[in-house]
Amino acid sequence: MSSSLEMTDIRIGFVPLADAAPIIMAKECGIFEKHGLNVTLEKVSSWARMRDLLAIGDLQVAHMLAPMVIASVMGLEPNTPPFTTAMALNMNGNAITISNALYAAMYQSNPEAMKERPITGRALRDVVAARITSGQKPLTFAMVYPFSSHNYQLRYWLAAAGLHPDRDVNLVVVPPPKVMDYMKAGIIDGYCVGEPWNSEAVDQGVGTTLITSHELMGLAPEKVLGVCQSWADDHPKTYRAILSAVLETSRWLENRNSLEEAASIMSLTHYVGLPAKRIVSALTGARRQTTGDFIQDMPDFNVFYRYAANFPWRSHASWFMTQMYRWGQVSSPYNFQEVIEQAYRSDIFREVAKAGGHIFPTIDMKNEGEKTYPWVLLDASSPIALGANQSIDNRVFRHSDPIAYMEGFQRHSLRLPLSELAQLN
Amino acid sequence: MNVRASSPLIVLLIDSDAERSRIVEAGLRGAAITRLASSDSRNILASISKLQPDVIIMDCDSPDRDTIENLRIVARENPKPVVMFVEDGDGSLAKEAVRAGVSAYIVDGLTSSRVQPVIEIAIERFKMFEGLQKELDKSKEDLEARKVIERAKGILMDKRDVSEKEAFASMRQLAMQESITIKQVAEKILSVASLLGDNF
Repeated sequence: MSSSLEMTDIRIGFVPLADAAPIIMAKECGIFEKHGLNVTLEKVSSWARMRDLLAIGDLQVAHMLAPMVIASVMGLEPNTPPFTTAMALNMNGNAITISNALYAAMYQSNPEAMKERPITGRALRDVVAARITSGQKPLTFAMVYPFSSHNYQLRYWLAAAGLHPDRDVNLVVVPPPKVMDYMKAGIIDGYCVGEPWNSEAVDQGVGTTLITSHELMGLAPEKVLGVCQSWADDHPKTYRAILSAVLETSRWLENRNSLEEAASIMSLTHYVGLPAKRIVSALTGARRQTTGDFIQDMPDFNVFYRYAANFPWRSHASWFMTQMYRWGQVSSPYNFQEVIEQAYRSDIFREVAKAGGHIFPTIDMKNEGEKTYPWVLLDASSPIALGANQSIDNRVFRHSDPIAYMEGFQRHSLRLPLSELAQLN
Repeated sequence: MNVRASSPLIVLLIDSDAERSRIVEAGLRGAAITRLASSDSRNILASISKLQPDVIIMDCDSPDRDTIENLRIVARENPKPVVMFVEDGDGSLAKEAVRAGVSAYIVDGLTSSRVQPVIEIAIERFKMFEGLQKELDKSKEDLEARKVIERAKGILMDKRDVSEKEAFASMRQLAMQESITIKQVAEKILSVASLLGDNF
């Protein structure tokens, strides 16, 4: 097998986060090796650095924010060739946490709204309005990168409550390991990041978690395995071997014992470097805080394999594009189909899944946010159990008409008329 | 190109390594085209909006890079949008910068020819620092190796009652046979000695 690979020495970059688990464990459990690959893992300190290292070929494969791949195809990432992905690493895993002072202010201004589950930003809107009236400076919220699910989730939650994220509050990027310090120093009032920076803030009494990404937007796409398109084209067998290995590891991670083993290995300094018990909670969703002081086990807090979690749904890619337009990150019109077909290679996923005995969807798109209950996907190699996926405002993204979906946004920073976009789509 | 005629570029250097910072700063001062500004690492955004730099040179391993990346996309609070340096030619300078560990951001609208010397100096200085670091590591390594070899030699001389020259020769022979370094041979001798204690 391995003798036919175009390349066997592979460098894969990861950011020290809980959802690097499938990559780290594929290496630690010898699964890359089994697939004829000699993989070296490199810890990367920022998403920008990850992008640059992948772009110049110092890394072949990257743990990556899903929207970065799409942004690269649209030419929105500097000095970067188009990336592509054939596999998602996980769904969910983020949360919005705010300072205790802001929580108290929200509670004071609207105690009724603070009891909603999932919690909306209604009370926050009252606080923001009061601040504007009294001439106080706007609240500042942090997320992790402009092209990230965190950015779009935070904006979605704010906008769903009638707040304009570009006018009513100040949005900045802060590296996750620094968010707690920034909040303690009063530089930021809240943030949307992955784990363990939400539970850590709760445990240390620095902040209060309001909502997890799963409650905000059910089964939301998160990280992917990114590569350069040109590299994928030139190394088809190697690319498939890597995908097979990571997919096999994802299946292994479905088991609770595996997650605990992963947490203990990932706690090592050269991986995530945090106590294993912190990582366990991020992986299993045990004892999570939400809606202020509510504590609950959330088995779907981070999903690595079930619900077809690894399938690169082109409807996810298309939804990300609607958010890029919505928030003014892109001002020229693109044909959605052309971008998502390049960015998300569902065809390659199916090939790899089939060879490895995994079940897979036979369609590329589904309506997002439509299901309020668990359901079964029949358009698949074998029926697949999927979970509820509604959004906080119950809005449904119909993949057949992204423009109509965008027309429904009352809060936006669109930089081109939707009619212009409609001409190309 | 007459850079001296125009007003100096305000360069903000963000680097957690104080020693490298000094080396890069010295290089940029020498160029006489720049005015250096330093950032409060606790709040980079506040520093940027206060200092209004034309160029930001950043250690590429700094997690704060993503903070700057966001300014590239949203420039509401800062009147001067910051974009990543893109070379006009074949992108080789950008690649070199990534490899050297330099990330550079410039104010939108600044001609790249004006900024190019700054980036080149930064790359050169980052490389210089890496070279010094390697040298330092190597001399530390050499010193450590010498210590280990001396101790192993002492053990051999003591236990086998051979001369210093003979002890060293036998270590060298073993190193050649097993194609490992003399330091590795010495380490083996030391670990065996510590395992067997006085019976060795």
